Amino acid sequence: MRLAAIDIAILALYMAGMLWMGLALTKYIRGGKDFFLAGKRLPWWAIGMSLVATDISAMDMIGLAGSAYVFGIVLANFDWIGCIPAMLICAFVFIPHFWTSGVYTIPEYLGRRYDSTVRVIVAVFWLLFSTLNLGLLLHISAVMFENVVGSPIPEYGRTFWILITAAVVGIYTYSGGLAAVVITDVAQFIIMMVGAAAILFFGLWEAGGIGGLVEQVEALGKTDHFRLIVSPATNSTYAWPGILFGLALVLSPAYWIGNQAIVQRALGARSEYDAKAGLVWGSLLKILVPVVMVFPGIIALAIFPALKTGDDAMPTLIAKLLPNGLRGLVFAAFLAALMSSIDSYLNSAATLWTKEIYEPVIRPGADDRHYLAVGRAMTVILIILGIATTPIPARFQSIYSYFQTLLATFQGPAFAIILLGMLWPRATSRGALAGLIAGLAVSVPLNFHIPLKRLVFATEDPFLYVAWWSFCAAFAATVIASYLTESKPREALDGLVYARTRRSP
Amino acid sequence: MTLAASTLAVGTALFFGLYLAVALFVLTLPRAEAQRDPARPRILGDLRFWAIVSAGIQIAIYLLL
Repeated sequence: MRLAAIDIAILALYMAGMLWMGLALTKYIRGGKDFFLAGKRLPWWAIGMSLVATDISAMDMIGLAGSAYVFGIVLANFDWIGCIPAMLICAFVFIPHFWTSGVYTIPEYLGRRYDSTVRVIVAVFWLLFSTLNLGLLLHISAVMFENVVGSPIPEYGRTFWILITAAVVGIYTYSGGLAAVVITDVAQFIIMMVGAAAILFFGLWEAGGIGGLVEQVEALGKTDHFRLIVSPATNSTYAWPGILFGLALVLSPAYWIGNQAIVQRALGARSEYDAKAGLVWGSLLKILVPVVMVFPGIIALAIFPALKTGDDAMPTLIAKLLPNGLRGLVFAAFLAALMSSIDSYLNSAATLWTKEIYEPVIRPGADDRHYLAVGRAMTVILIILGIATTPIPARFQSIYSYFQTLLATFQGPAFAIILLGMLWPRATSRGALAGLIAGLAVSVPLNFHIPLKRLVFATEDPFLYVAWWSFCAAFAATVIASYLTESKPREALDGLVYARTRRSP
Repeated sequence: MTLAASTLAVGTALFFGLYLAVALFVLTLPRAEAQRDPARPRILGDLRFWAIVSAGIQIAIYLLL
C-alpha cells in the first residue's frame, strides 16, 4: 500500500501540528515540577484521554485486530476486564496514597515505604524497560513509514524514519515536558479514535452490517469468534484462567498502578479529585476501545477470510476499503498511537533517572532549575538509547511477543511488592528484596528458557501464566521474609499504607 | 454438563464476581471518599456514580455477549 499525495499532505500536517502543540507549551516550563509533573495543573479530562492514548500503541491497533482475526472478540478482554477494574481500584485505593505522600514516581514511593535499595532496583528496571520499549516503538514506526510512505534514501529507509520520528517526539517532549506529552496525547487520542472508527464504519458497510458480519463469520465455522470467555480445554493463550489470573489480577493492576508512565499523569493532576476522575473517565473511554480496534479484525475475517496472517487484517482493510485522504488520516492515527506511547515512556524514564538516581545518589540538594536541565539532557540521551536499541526487537519472532515478554518478566514481581507495601504494614524492605529476587527467578527462566517454557505450559505464548506465577512467587517470598525480619515502626508508615492514610475530606 | 461447559461456567462466574466486587467496593466507600466536585450536580459530580456506571456497562456487555 502506498499513500496518495493528499494522504502524505495530511501526514505532514499532523507531524507539524504535534510539533507546534508541544513547542507552544515550552513557555510554561520554569522548573522541575513543571517539566516532570506539568506544574500539577492537569485537568481530569486530559488525564483520562492521555492515559488511554498512552496505553494504546500502533502495536495494539495492528495486533488486536490481527489476533481478533484469529481468535475473535476474546481479545476485547484486554481492554475490558484487563483494564477497567484495575483503573477503578487504582482511582479509589492507590491514587490517594500517591497523592498524600506527594511523590513524583513509584520507586520514590517504594523508597519511602521500604528503603533506598528497593527504590534504586525498581527504578533501574523501569529505566531498562522504558528504554527497550522506546526502541521497540521507534522500530515499529520506522517499519510502518517504510512500507507505506517509502523513503527518500532507500538504502537507509528504516534508519531515516527512526530519526524523523525520534526528532519530532524528542523535540516536543524535551521542550514541554509532561504538559506537552499530555496535551499532544489528547489530540492523538481524538485522531486515533476517528481513524479507527472510519475503518469500522467502512468495514461494517462492506460486511452488510452487524447481521451480515455474524452470518458470514458463522458461515466460516468460526462460532467461537463471538465468545468473550474461552474454555481452557482449547489450549488457547486467551483461555479464561490466563485472562483472569494473569491479566485481570496481575498484569493489568501492575500496569495501571505500578507503571510510571501511567501514574505520572495522575500525579500531575491539579487536585486529588482530578487525579481520580481522570482514571474513572479513562475507564469509561476504555469501553469504546475494543469496539473500534477488535471488531475490525472480525470484519476482516468476514470480508477477506484467506489472509496469510492475522496481522494483515488491519493493513488490508485500510488498503482495500478506505478512499484517498482517509488513508492519510488513518495512518496519522497509527502514528498518533505510536507517538503518544513514545513521548510518555520518554518523559517518565527521564523523570525516573532524574528523581530516583541522579537527585538522591549523584547530586542531592541542587536547585530545581538544575534538575530541569538534567531531565531535559536525559530526554535527549534516552531518545539516543532508544534509537540504539531498535535492532533488538527484530531478533524476536513477533513484536507482540517481545513486548509481552518484557512486561511479563518484571510486572508480576514489582506489583507484588507494591501491593503488599500499600496494604500490609508488616511488609519489610528485606521481604520486598526477597520478593523481587524470587519473582524474577520464576519469570526469567519461564520467559527465556524455551525448552522449560514448552515443558511447563501447553500454550505456545504463556506470558499471562508467567506473570501470574512470578507474582505468586514474589508475594509468597515477601510475606515469608517479612515475618523473618523486623518491620518499620507503625508511625513511620503514616500515609504510606492503606490503614494509615488519611481519608479524603 | 461436560468438563468444558463447567469450566466455562466457573470462568463466567469469576468474571462477573470481579466486576461485582469492584462495584460493591466502590459503593462501600464513605461519601467523603468520592471527592465530589462541588461545581457539578450532586450525582454527576460524584465519582462513585461514574465508577458504578463503568462497571455496570461492563456487566451488561458480558451478559449480552
